[in-house]
Amino acid sequence: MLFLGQYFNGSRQSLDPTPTNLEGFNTIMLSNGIFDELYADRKICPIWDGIISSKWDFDTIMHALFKENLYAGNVNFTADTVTSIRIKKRKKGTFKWLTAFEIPIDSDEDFKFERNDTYNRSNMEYEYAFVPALNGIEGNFNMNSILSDFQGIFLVERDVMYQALLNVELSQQLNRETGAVHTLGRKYPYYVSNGNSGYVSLDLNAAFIEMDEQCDLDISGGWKYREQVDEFLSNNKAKLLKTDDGKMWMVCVTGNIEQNSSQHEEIPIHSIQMIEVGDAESPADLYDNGFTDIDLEVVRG
Amino acid sequence: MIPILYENTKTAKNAEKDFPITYKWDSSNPQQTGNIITIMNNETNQIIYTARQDDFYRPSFTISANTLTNGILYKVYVQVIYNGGTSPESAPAVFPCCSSPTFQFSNVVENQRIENANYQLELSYEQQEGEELQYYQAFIYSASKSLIYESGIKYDTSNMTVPISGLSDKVQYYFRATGITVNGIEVDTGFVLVSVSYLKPSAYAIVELTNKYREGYTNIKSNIVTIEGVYGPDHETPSYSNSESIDLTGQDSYVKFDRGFDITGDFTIICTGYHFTNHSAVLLVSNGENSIQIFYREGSFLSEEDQPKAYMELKIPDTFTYSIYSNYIDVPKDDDLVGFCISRENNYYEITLKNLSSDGEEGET
Repeated sequence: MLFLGQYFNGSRQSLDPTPTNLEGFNTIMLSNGIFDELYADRKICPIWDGIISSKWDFDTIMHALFKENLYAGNVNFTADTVTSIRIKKRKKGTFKWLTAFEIPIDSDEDFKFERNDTYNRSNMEYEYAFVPALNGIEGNFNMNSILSDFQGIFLVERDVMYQALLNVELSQQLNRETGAVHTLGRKYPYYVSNGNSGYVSLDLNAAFIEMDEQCDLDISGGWKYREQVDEFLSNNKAKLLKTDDGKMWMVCVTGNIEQNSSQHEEIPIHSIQMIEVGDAESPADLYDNGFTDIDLEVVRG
Repeated sequence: MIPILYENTKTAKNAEKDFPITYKWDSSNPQQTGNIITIMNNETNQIIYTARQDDFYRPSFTISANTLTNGILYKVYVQVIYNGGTSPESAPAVFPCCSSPTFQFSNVVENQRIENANYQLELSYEQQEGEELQYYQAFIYSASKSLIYESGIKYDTSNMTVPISGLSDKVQYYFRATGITVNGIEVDTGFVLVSVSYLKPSAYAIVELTNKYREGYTNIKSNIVTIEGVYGPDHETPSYSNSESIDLTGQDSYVKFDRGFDITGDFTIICTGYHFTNHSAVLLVSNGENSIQIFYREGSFLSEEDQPKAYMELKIPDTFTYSIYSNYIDVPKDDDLVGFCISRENNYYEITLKNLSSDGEEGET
């Protein structure tokens, strides 16, 4: 209606009752009918086309289908029916899963969790799955995949990791115990190889220095950071050494740890010798060397 | 100088097919020049079959198809003929004859498409003479037939199911199962090719993964939402209609969702169903103090017609009761699926009612 040149009661809700300001709805109840579906989300739908979306997204609040159960979340279980959620992972293209984390579940709030997996190679696609477990019996998998990628090299223990980006040089040698036994009257020696020895030894030269969000180097405070790195390198614990081209080893640091400032006085280069002490992707070796508490996939003998 | 029947002589044989009987004749014995086989009915000791092969140097005898009969237990012994004479009889071996069992996947066929990351393989086994299956196991192979999973030996043959998880999207696999009957017959489903293809959410995922490029790790975040309704009255079990709908037409019946969610700001709630009770609240949305009530109503509202119409009323009791009405539709039939949609924007509500079965035109508001 146009009144004295102004719109009067011109919008759709002009003659609606006074709106109420109610928030925090936490209960929905159905009764007095046979119900097929109940759906709620945070989007606005003033004109409904009769279709209910089957996809769950960040705006979806609940969706109950009443197919012989009363579940309305995006999974068919609750804290009453699971005792833990296992986070499993595997390299894409393989079939065998490794349990990376196990989250105990005592209440619905425990389902909101976050973890960081520091044991992935670079340039490798991994699949992760959430698996509900009830006293050890596993249910269906919910899966997703990600390409793991990073720059530089990392030395990783269970709760701490150090990165080196600058002046990285890495050389490796595969060590085997073999020998040649020469005998009288024989032109050729006997080749002897006892045991299954075949481990890598590595020489790493790298500058350890902190970099902030703006990629600025903390040069003046670098000596404190390098003291932490030296403590880390000399604690006699096994570490994972992983490089940005996809290589990864389980190593221990041997010998002395040298710092050389000949190239730049305030950015010395560490020289570190390491030997391989286990398989970086073996559940048994990861468990035995303290990288994980989970031994579900450990097979001995 | 006695021939020794091999252990596999005791395994069950299918009398409808040729099968060999083999034995060991030690190399320190004189050279074999022929052999004699005798097969008897183990129960009656009646000789069913006997044959002699001369100028025959291999330690075996092939029993032709249909010489014996399935369902009977037989006893066999052999003798070796050599230049100096004939050896004594071997120690006898007893073996049953039975038809080849049928062993196959009951829910997987060649080139089947599987639309889930998880699947439960089901196997079926039948054998005409009642030969039981002793154990079985299932295998999964890649498209190039490399073994990637084995279930291990399973002895519970009364319920032959093998749950498998973690099938990758857009990948082909071969499924196979093998087993052994109680009398040693080997069964094999052969390789069955399947293709896995399922929709994966592109942006939202229950398992939310982020690659941290600078930090060198993968962040894993859970978007699990667990909500389960409660049925009332207490101590009663819900009644489902065709396993697809829940029947709340009974007196005092309800389903209540009161855990795992919180609705603030703008929202949309959609509900579909049948047989809504006239002039009754079918939906209640509450924050503990105030509530939004949705009523289903039927009545005659248009003066030109006598036909009753159906509509929904949204009511919010407060100091000033907020009340709006949906559009009208023809009164739905008993088996018509009806749906209503409530949308709130900036505290203003819209409610729409539709007959989803007829998909007819909406009436006036």
